[in-house]
Amino acid sequence: MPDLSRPLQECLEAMDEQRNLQDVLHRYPADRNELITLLRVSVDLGGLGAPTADPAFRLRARNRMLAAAADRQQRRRWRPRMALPRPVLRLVLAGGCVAALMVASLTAAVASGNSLPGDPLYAVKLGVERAQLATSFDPGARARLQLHFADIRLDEAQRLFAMGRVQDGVRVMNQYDTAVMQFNRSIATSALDTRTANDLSRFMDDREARADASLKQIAGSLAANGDRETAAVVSRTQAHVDQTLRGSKRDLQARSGSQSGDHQPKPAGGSQ
Amino acid sequence: MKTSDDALIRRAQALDPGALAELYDRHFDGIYRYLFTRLRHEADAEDFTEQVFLKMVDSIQRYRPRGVAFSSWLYRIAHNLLVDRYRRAGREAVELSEQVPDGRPHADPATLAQNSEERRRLVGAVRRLTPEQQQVITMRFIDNLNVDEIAQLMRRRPGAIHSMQHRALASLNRFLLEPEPVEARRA
Repeated sequence: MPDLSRPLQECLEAMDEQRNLQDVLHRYPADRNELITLLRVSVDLGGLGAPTADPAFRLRARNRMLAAAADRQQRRRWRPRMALPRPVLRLVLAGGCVAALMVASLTAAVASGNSLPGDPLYAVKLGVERAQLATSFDPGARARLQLHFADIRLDEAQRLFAMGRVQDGVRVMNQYDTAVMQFNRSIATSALDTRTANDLSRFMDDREARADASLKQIAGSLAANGDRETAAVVSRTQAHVDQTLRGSKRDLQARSGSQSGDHQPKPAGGSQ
Repeated sequence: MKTSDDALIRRAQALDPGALAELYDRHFDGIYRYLFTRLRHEADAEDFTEQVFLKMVDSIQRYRPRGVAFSSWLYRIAHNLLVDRYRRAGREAVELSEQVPDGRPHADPATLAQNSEERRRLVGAVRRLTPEQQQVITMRFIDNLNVDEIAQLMRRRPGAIHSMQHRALASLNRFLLEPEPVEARRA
C-alpha cells in the first residue's frame, strides 16, 4: 500500500478550508482515484456524528457558567491576595518568608545573649560571635571584639559557678583563658597605628581590673564552699591570664613608643 | 475579525464575562459532539458538557499555553471526565452506536432504512480497526478536531496521526468492500 498520508492530509485540509479539492488532486494524478475513495469514506464517517445540542440547554449551560464565573470573581474580591498575578504573589510570599526568617534569626540572636552552655540558644550565641569576628576587618575593632567575647566567657563561668555547675564553669574558664590568648596573638600579628594601640591599651586596663576582681571573687567563693581544688584551678587561670594580658600590654606600649615619631603602623614582635 | 484565542484567554483569565462567553460559543459544539459520540446519551452529554465549562472557569487561571492549544486543553478536561466516568462504571471505552437519532421531521422510510444499513456497516467496519485507529478516526471525522489537536490529546506527533489516519481510512474502505457474512446481516 503506497503511503498517501501526506496527499490525503492535503485533501482533507482543502475540504476543511473549503478550497478547491481538484487543485490538490491534480498534483497526485497516479493516486487520484485512491484518494477520492478515502475521502468518500471520511465523508461517510462524518455522518456518524452527533446531533447538535438543544439550543435551550446551550443557553442554560452558558448562563450557569457565567454565573459561576461571577461568583468566583466575587469571592476573589474578598481575598485580595488571589487577585495578584501569580509571579507577584510568589514574590510577596518569598519576601514574607525571608522577612520572617530574618525576624526569627534576630530574635533568636537577641534571646541567645544570656544563654549558658547547655541552653538551646547557646550555639546561636557562639555563631553570632563568630559572624561578628568574621565580618570585622579592622584589626583594632577585631581585637576589641575578641576581648569583649573573652569577658563574656568569664561572665558565663561566674554564673555557672554560682549555679553550682562546677564542671561547666571550669570548662568555660578554660575557654576564657583561650580567648585571652587569641586576643594576645591577634595584637601581636596585626598592624596597629599608635592611636589604635593607645585606645586598646586603655580598653585593656579597664577590662583587666574587672576580670581580676571577678576571678578573685570566684576563687574566694569556691574556697569558702570547700572546693579548694577548683579554686586553685581558677587561681591558676587568673595567673595565666594576667601574664598574657601583661604581654599584650607590653606589645601595645612598645608599638605606641616606636611609632610616636613616624605614625606608621607596624606589627609587633609578639610576646606574653 | 475573530479575536485570537490567546487574547480572549487573557481576558477570560481575569474572569471577563464577555471573553468567557466567546470561548464558550467557539468551543461548545466541538465539546458536545466529542462527549455525545462517546456517551451516546443526550442527558449525559449535556451534563458532561456543562461540567467541562464549569471546570474551565475554575481552572482557566492555571492554564498556560506552552504549545498546548486551548481547545486541546478543553478536550483534555472532557477526556478526564470521561475517564472518571468509565472508571466508576468499570468500562474501558465507549463504542459508536448503530442507532442514529434522526431529527428530520419527515424522513422517507426507504431512505431511513438504507441510511440505517449503511450506518450499520460503517460502524461495524470502524469496530474492526485497532483502538488507536478508532480514536483517531472518531476525533478527526466525527468530532471534527484537527490533526494538531488530536496529536496533543493522544500525545503523539502530527506525522504519526497523519499516518494512522491514512491506514485507518484504507482499512475501512477494504472492510466495506468485503462481502458481508449472512449471519452478520441477520444480526
